[in-house]
Amino acid sequence: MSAPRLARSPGGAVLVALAVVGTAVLVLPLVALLLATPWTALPTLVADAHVLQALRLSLLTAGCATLAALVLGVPLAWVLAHDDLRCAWLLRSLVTVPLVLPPVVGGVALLLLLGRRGLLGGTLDTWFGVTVPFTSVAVVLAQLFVSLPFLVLSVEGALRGADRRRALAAQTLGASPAYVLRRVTLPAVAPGVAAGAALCFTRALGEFGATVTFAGSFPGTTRTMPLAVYLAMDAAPEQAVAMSVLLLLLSVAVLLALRGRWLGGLPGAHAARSGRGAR
Amino acid sequence: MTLDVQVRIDRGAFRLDVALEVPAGGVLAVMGPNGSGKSTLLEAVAGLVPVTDGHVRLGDRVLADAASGRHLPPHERRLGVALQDGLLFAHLSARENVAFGPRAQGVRAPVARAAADALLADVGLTTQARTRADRLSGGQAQRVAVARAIAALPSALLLDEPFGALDAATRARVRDVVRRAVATGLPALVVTHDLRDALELADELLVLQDGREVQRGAPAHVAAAPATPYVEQVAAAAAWPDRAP
Repeated sequence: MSAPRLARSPGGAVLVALAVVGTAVLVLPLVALLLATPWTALPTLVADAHVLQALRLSLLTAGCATLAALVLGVPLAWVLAHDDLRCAWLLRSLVTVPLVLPPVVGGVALLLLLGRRGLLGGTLDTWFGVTVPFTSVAVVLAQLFVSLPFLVLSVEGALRGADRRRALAAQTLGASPAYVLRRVTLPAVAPGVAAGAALCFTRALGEFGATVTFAGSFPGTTRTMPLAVYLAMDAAPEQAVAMSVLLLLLSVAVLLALRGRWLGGLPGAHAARSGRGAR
Repeated sequence: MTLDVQVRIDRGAFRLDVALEVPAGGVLAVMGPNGSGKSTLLEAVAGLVPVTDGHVRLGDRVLADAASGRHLPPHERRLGVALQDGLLFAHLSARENVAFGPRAQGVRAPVARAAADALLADVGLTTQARTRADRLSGGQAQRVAVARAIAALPSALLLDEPFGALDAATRARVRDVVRRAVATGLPALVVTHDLRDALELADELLVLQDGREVQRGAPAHVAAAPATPYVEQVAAAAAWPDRAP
């Protein structure tokens, strides 16, 4: 940290001041949250049946969404990572849209697709008697819609990093393609997949807009933690704060796990830090 | 076992047209300016690039033959290859990188690791055996790449710029390791930018330019009578006495 030296020139001082304000914008709200937290009453507040119900539902749906994202997203990333794909740019743009789209819009779109009068929803209802909206499945779909791009882009990056020439080098040493996949390609990609899954999970855990629009807010089936926090703000502010802290701790735990275990093991992560790579 | 290569390779506008033979225990050095086709030649022998015309034979085995459409996949060619840039497996230790070839071919892990440790000792990397490949310096990684190629139970050695990142003393040491491996009866193809490698290691030097042979002969003869400005230049560079004492 050489902020004092940076700040010596007038222009530098302005930039540093703005950087400080920027940091404050990100950190101060969390400080306020932590200061308002009734730490001694926290265990009892969190142990409340409604909170536990919402927490269980959140972990379950976010877990399901992450699993689904892994099953669907890894192949999608694999397709994207192939340079010979002509419409890759189009496919990548489509994958990126949910990242920039307001989640509420995603919820509306999901309703228009799977609602009773939706594009597919009508057929599902009349032919199979299946209604998706306002169920736990709808929660998972809403979370999947907003979190899948995180996984896809992260895994695609990892696949590109594990370049093809290493796989070829392995073959020239007498390794069959299956052996190369098992001992070279997959291990090289695994940290990226893990990081993507963690990002995907935290994004799914925090999903609000698409969930409330597409799945509603029914206790036990669709009222996840973020929805419960929002509702509790009026009725039981202390509980809302307690649940918020719980979500904050969960997210930070995932972030710490990412940094320590996975980001440190990403191919090139260390090389980038020490300024030299595996040649 | 003789390595017999007679190939034409078309890659877009580039054409490589070359014929060579390396006897068992012999080293052929290949030199040439960038884009002359050195690496393409090596990749064709390794099976990474298809042969447009001609053949690659190793002893009585046909590795590639355009006429019959035969193209043995890289992992069935029984070669020890160090491609340009080493291409170590970043998530594995130096030891597991070197043990990779034999393990991939069914050698039991402890046996392969012991062989790897011996080779790492030869190239002076005993203390780095457990270091992850992406934490090695450029020169260390290059030595691991050479050791890995030699460890892969090969019938021929293909080394693309195996000494580029090494200082003079280490260079001599690694050349020695290669020489000993070759002496067990392997033909070796060594691509290099430094004429001293050819002078020290090779029985014959092949100079390529634009995909064609421009000069061939004993390295000392080529150095003494450069046929092209490129050879003149590398001969001049090799004359600088910066070798280790």
